[in-house]
Amino acid sequence: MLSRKYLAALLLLPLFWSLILVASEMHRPGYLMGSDPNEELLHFFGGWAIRILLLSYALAGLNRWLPKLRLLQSRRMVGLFAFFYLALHFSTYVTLFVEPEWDVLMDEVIQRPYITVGAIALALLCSMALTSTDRARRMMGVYWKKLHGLIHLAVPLALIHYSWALKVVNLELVIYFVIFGFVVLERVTKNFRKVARFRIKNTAVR
Amino acid sequence: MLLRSKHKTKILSSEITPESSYLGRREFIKGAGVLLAGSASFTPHLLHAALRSDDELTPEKIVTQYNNFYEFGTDKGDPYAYAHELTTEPWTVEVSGEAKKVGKYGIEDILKGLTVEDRVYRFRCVEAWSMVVPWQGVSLKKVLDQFEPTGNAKYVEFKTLYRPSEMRGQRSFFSNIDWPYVEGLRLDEAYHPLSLMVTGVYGKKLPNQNGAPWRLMVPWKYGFKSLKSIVSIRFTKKQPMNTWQALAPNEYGFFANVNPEVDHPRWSQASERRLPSSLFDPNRRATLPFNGYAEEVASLYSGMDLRKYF
Repeated sequence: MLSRKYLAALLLLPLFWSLILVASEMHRPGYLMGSDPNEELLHFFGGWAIRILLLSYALAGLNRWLPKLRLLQSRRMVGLFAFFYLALHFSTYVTLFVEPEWDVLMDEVIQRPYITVGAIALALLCSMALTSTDRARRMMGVYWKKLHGLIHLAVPLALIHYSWALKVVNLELVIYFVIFGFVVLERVTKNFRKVARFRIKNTAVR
Repeated sequence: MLLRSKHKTKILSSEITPESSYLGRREFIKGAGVLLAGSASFTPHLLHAALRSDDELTPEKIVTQYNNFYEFGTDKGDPYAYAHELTTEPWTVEVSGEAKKVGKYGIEDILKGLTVEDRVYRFRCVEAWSMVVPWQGVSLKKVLDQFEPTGNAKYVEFKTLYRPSEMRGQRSFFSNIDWPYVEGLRLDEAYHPLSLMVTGVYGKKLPNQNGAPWRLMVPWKYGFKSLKSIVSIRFTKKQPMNTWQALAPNEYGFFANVNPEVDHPRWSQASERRLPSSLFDPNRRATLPFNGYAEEVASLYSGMDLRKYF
């Protein structure tokens, strides 16, 4: 079993690294963050939001492969970490790229398709994060599952957001889409496997 | 009118260089160093030509280590890391098309007898960051005139070197660019006094990552027009197809004039991050029509719908 504590410590590493990055900019500008630190920080948080989001999305499948790790126990935590880095990505965008021209924010969300899909993914994940408590889960009943099923929409939207922000395809994007493809494929075939097992069982009984 | 310049520069294009040339390069660079050190006293006698009072030189380290040169990789740091793999001697340039003196020339023969001038230009990338760079170079007009273009020549097309053995970005499996990199100008744009063939930066020989041994510099256009490491010059009747337009015609046009009123379909061009830019001061500023050179070049496009010809 993979301890939640260790996993949490791992998922906090990018945050610690970002603090070092920011501190380095105070003392030696450009040393760690290159020539365009604003863009660097934006992409740093955005990148980790996507990677951890993909991890949380893959956990159910991974759990079927490696049941001993009991990964499902950590799914909520991993999802919340993804949201945490997404919130940092969004705050970086607002404070370093929009502020102080607040009226620009709404224009950008409406006019720029890649920001539109990013904003939708943000809204979806925000609603999931807010309803992630046990209490909310009890209160919402069947609707909780419906709402959290929107992860199947949020993940591809996040990937589309990233790919539309690029000028040309890069290896990172390809890797993300491959992982996404594997997770979806595993889910789809899981249902086939279930049906197959069901049939075998029934034949055996007969 | 679509193009309005709020601040009048009142500088003739013919006045752009003299300051630095009479100061001499050594003193010019020293002055630049003072500016870089963040000295309180701004030295307007040095930089006022074609520059605005809030334009400060981008440090040499950023100019030479933050580059878009996809021939070496798509990361900004890739050109600095890998461009040393390129050999630039000997360098042959093929001149072809609508000109009398076509053929293959060694770059030294083309540059022979041409005066190297200092030019401090703003540089605006289509990705919405910008720099102020002290280039050294020769007049593009004087370069092109040597080949005696005929009356049929309406455009000039340039190509960057294609040499995958020394340019690892051209070997990249993921690259969807059809090498070699191609760019072009209308002949009157190429003949404009601001158009420069750059051979040096910050008083030094042009580093490979900046496009050695020579590159184009048309400061009123987005950076991708100013292609690097040029090996082919072709005079044409028809408008050439440039690489980015071929790749995404709805996003990149032929003219690519800096224009805050015409956004890139995916992002705004209204403002830019001027490098050096820090987390504590993003150094964001409004983008100017024709990158601030409207007074000098806007007449080239009079009567043209710049939304259509972006």
